[in-house]
Amino acid sequence: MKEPLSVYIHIPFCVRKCRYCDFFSAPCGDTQRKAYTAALVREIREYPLLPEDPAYAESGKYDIVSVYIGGGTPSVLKTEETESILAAVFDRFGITDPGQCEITMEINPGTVTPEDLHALRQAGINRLSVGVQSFNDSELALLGRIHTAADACAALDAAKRAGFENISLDLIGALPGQTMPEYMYSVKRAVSLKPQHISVYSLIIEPGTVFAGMLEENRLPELPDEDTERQMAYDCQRYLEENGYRRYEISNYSLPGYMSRHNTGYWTLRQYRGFGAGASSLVGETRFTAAADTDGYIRAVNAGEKIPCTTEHLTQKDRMEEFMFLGLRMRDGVSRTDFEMLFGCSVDEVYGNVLRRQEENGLIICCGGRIMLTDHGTDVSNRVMAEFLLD
Amino acid sequence: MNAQENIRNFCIVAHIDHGKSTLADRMIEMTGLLTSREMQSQVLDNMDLERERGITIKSQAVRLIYKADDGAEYMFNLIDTPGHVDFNYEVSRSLAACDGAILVVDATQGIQAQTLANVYLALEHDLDVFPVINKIDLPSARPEEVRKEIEDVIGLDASDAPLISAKQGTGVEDVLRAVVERIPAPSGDSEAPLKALIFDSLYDPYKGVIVFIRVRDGAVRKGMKVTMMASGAEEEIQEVGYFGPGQFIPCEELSAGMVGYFTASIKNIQEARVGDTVTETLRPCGEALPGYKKAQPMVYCGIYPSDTQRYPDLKDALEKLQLNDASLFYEPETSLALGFGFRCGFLGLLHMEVILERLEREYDLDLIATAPGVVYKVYKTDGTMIELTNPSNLPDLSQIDHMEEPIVSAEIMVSTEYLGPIMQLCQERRGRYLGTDYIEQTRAILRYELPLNEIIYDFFDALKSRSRGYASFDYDLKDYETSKLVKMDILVNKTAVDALSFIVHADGAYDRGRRMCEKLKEEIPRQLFEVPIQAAVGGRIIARETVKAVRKDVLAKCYGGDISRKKKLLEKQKEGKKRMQMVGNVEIPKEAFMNVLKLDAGN
Repeated sequence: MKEPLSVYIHIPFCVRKCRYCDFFSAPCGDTQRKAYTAALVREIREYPLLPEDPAYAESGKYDIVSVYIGGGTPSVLKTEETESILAAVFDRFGITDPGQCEITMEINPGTVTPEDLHALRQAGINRLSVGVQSFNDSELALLGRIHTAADACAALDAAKRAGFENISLDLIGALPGQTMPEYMYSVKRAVSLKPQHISVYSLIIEPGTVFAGMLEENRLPELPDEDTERQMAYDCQRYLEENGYRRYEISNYSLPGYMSRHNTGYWTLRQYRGFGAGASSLVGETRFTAAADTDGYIRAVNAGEKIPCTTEHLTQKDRMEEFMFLGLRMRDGVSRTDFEMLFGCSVDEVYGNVLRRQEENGLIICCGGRIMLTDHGTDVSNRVMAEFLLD
Repeated sequence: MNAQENIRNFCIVAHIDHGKSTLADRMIEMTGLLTSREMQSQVLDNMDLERERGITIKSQAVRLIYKADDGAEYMFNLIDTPGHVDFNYEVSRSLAACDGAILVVDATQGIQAQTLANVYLALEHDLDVFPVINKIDLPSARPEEVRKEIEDVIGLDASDAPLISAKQGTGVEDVLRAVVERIPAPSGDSEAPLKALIFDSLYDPYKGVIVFIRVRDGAVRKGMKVTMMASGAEEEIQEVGYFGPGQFIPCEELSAGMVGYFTASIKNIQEARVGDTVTETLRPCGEALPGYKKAQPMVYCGIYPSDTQRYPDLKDALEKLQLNDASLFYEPETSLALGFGFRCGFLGLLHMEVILERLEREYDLDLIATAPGVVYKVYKTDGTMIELTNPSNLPDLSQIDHMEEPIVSAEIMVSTEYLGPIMQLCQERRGRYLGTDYIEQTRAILRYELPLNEIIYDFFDALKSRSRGYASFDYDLKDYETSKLVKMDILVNKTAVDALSFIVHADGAYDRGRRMCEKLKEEIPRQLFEVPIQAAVGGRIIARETVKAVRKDVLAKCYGGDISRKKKLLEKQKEGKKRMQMVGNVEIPKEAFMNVLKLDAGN
């Protein structure tokens, strides 16, 4: 039987760095973008799936569940560049019918024309993740986004007309100075556009971002306090559920049948191979992440050398821990049977005490052969998940 | 040169930071036993902790050879002494081995509280004391005023006190000369039966207990059978020697007047207690030397390993520390909150901190210390009295007739401009004003009687901050007095935490309870549920604070590249839990048990 595998492609480029963004991404010139695309295509076509084992044979071994082009802003790529990348993926993994596979691309309003969207759809992209973030122009300006709310609506409209039937939309809440009604306005506008999937995040000020500097210098409008932030999350959840969206993961909601197949893989220990600078992979029992250095990546690939990366080998213990703390991110939690099949012992043998204690504290529920977080457990999930790390 | 008249046994006494150790270093350097290059700074302080804190804890001795101008050679035994009030006992042990003392006074600060305390202690031991005035290189030095102060306040002749800078080496030659001239040679009869005083000891895993002695009469040599007169133990001497800088140097014998050490495969220090007299088994001396003043622990606290598995290690470490520190007392106790541990007695708060740090550093233990307290006398209705060292053992109120607490007489030396704030502080601490003595126009000694439990933890800090560091302080236990005392319990999440209970004067209970709750609220991190913190006296709640529940602790995004990062975050979270002590179902940081007591620092 073939093993399921997801493919991730990292595009470390954007038009302008957003003030909250701590991803590996930066504005780029034509030359660098072209060189990067060429390197990416070469990596996909020629490089071993396991860098430390060049003889690793994968021909026909894998069944590709999903392809995800993320960034950065992948939509800064020219259409033909995206096409060449997809073609490389299809060739490498023998994908003959892209329609059988979830193929997602992240796009940002203001970077794609209706023609681009049409071409992307034709090239095989069948799911879009649109970085809308907010429907308030002043908030978009504060975040450092290059688009307006109107641009976002236009992009969604154009995407539908280009034939996209699986569209996701990103929102960020708890923005500096944001009030409850302002936040709910964005949530409601998002729902009114009828996307199949909505991801909702609360802003976290990450070190090294422009926001972190502004916060330090007291130039950032006041952040909503913890109570307001929680209320925003609760109200958002209620509104989305009233409108048919189900919260299937801590930050993700979808209409029935539209959960992200790609992201679900990350939470169920599915193998994935990331191509490009900064991309992470999990192949077999090895997780490796290419260095976040665009030029270094291009140089290595052009020279046909090994791409610099950090590697960790997952032990059975690591995998048990990840199975639990990643699986618990999902509303349906983890399955006792899956655990036993993967690890050859019961969950209770390993985590009996933790489960009992957490259930007593009302943080998890064990029922119907599954283990899942309660609503309270979800709010404080880091605390719950830390308990699943083994000594 | 081993002639008894060429021996000088002396120590240096001073207020803390007045330059005692620096002077000792210079003297060692100038007597030529070490080259400048070999000198680590402050040779005598060879414990890390001492070097870091700049204080001397464990007294040390060193033998120096001084060649006088006339060509005669003198054997100096320099015995370093601690300067802090907590270590009066150690000072007294060292002093008993000396015939004289050099008093070091800082030319900028003049006489301080511990200067007086140490001088009086030296005079009590019949030592000849001569003063030197140090730090004359500093721009603010006022040596002539200080000279007058020494004469007026202490009554020592300071007319020819050497003016020195130990740091720069200025005048140290004069000090060496003065040692010869002003400190008497030891008396004692080398032919008489052996009579030697144990003034310190050190445990060595290979040699057993190394016993530091001052020979009064007779001589001690290898192979001699000796008896410790108080313990009755008999041993055969295996090695005798003297103290080189930082090392032990074996020699043939130690005779009357000499200071040195012996080993005799002694495994148990109870056999060779400090203060005991050593004599020859076959030819014993008539009577033992007068014993030392035995140290009474003044401050008690509970010490627990944070990992309960390490209780035996803690026990072992305490045993070893006690080998070198006879003033350390300990006995096993159990706490509901903290498990198995020890109730330990210390000379004072600094002594306690030093022991805690040594346990953690030298024995790699992770410890929890409870509130330090003093010894209360509890008179019960049945006519019996118990000495209470652990608040948890306080009998039921119905069985208590009355309680007494220890009172100290304190001398605080302070610039007159801070008299007001310091008197106010003493008043707040239930002090009884005895009087003020003016040393000069701008400085005075305040005399107070204070309950010991009011000064054991943060009094010194408060004193320093209210006098901008210009006050110095010394105290002596006076007696016990009846007092209106109550036991305060601290309830965390409705459960009394025995390790946080303490005894307090009824009038101050409300205030202390309130501040204790406020402080605990800062110390206890938010948990997954709301945690009430209450202070109670006799079952009545007198103060309350609440630690709000954590409402949110969640990582929004977790995709392919975030997983390793996420795991590190969770590991950090889990690591943080290890610094916590579970009390009931509440996680309390280990340091909270100590920190809550430092209520008034900065006032």
